[in-house]
Amino acid sequence: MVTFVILAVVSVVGALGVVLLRQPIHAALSLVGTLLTLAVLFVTLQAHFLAVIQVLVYAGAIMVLFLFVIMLLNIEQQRKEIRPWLRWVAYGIGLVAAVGLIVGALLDPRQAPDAAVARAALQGGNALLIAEVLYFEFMLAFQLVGVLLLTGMVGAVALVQRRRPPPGGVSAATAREAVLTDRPGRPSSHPVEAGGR
Amino acid sequence: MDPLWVTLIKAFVLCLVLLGAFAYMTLIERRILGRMQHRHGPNRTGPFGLLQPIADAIKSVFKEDIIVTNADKVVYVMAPMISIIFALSAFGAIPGGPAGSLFGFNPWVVDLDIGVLYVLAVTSVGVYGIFLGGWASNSKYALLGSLRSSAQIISYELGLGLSVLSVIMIAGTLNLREIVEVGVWTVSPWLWPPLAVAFVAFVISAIAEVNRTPFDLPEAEQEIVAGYLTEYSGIKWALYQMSEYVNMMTAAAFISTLFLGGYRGPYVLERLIPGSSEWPIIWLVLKMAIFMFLFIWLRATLPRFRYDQLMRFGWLYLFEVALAATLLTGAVIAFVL
Amino acid sequence: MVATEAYVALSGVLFSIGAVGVLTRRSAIMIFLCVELMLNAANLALVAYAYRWAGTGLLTGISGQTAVFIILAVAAAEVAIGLGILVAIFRNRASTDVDALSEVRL
Repeated sequence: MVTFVILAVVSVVGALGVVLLRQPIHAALSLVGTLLTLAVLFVTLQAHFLAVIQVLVYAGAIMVLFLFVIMLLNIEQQRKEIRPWLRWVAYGIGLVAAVGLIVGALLDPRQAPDAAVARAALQGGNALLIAEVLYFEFMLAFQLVGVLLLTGMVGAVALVQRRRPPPGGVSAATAREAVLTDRPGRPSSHPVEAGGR
Repeated sequence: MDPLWVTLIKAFVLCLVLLGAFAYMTLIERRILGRMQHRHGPNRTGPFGLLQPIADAIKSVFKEDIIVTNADKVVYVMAPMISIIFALSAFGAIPGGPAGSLFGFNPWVVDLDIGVLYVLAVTSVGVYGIFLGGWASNSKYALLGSLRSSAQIISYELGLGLSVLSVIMIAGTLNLREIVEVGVWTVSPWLWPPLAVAFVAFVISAIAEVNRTPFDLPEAEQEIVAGYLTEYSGIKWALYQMSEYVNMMTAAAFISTLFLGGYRGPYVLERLIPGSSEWPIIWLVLKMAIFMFLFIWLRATLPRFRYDQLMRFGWLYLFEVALAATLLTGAVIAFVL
Repeated sequence: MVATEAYVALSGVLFSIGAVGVLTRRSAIMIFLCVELMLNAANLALVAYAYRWAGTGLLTGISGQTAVFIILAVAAAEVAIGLGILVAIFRNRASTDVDALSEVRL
């Protein structure tokens, strides 16, 4: 119980950080914190395999990619915000959704499962059990995901591939790229640069 | 399962041992590099320079701890800690001997059913330390270092993961202790070719993952000063050094456990002295020492990759070779065995 | 032991926070981060229900976890494409503000 409360509070604080922090890198780090907390919550729900996969795939690969893009593109802190009244409307929608989901979850009249039964059935989210379901019950989904990943890979390469510069001259795009990536780290909080712009 | 306090004590002892090993690895590395380059290396502090690590430690602790003015302070301080915490926690899953062989205790901190994935996951999170440190320093060279390290580590993780697959398929388990007990080389001679290929691919990817020469582009001193380390000094710099060496040791132990029978002793010796294969710790440490020497040897021998060469090598050769090894293993298991 | 409902409620809260983020952020990459948060909230609910139904037969429990596994793979593909699009947009406009991308309007 205590574990759950601590983890829940940490994950909600992390999630709020994603929404409220100005600096993109800080927001992304806050999301990493939430993801790691979710991994621990998975462990408390007898899903050890998923917890490790969550850390490996989400924290280890996806979020590193996010941070890489944020740093590479040097995305700035937002100066313009959306209009204040719209912001409050969004908060209202969020609040209503949260209350609705909580009430919906709690109204569902079911008892907590017997921990021993769940542990015996899930065996800590054994990789072997997951594999059996994945390769028999979920076979179609599994193959579709394979196709999707391949499409994603080809698409990502096609999207970011630059045309080769014409022989004997640097293309405009390459020159721009050189300028863009040459700028130093974090322009946002750098007093000289922030003032200079 | 051990009681919690035993696990905690073992974890604490393991951290102390790893950090002590780090201190003396720096000395050993400098001495070996010295020999390989026809010079002496540090030999003035104590007999054979044995007190050098202590002198280095005192120096780093008392050096002024500079925090760059325009750094992102919180992240700047956090980054080396992230690095060392994840480096230290990866080693706990690696078994040091058969159950109960260490004075009645189990010579590992935790015995996980998904030990292989745990080690991979924790080491892949460790990259945040390097990555954030370089960014938080707010300096061109440091940022370049961290961009390089993240791209490199994501790319070589593919080779690493794919070459582990062969071992997992043969052993049929993700538990490191069970992989050692199965003994992947003893299953069938048909599996030797794919295993050998996977082994080579794995060693190369592991060297890239721990940022050692010839893959040390994140801190290439001839190009980008010291990469992510540029703005760090004193104890924070020492923390980064520690995590690099601890990561090297984890990589060495992981390679030995997956491919070289981990804590088990050589077959020939088992014939001569029955029971020698059951001795805890010693065989793992010896196998690790071979790989640590290999890492140092490579550092003295090979020049550094250029960045495009690094990417090309990772994506066009290593990835394909590891994939081929996986397919071959699968084919052998499906059609021959 | 905590009731499964508590996990589902937590997942609902995280989902709503993510939704607010999608509504209030202007930079495409931040919106993307918030979508990831919403996906993860859904994953938590799935794992919680997998635990809830674990005793009622092997497949019911484990298939919830397997679904999360597939969601992770889909998320990886989605991130690869999404970040590719972001890089392409940024090359052309040097900004990721979604409100500025309004050429295609009627």
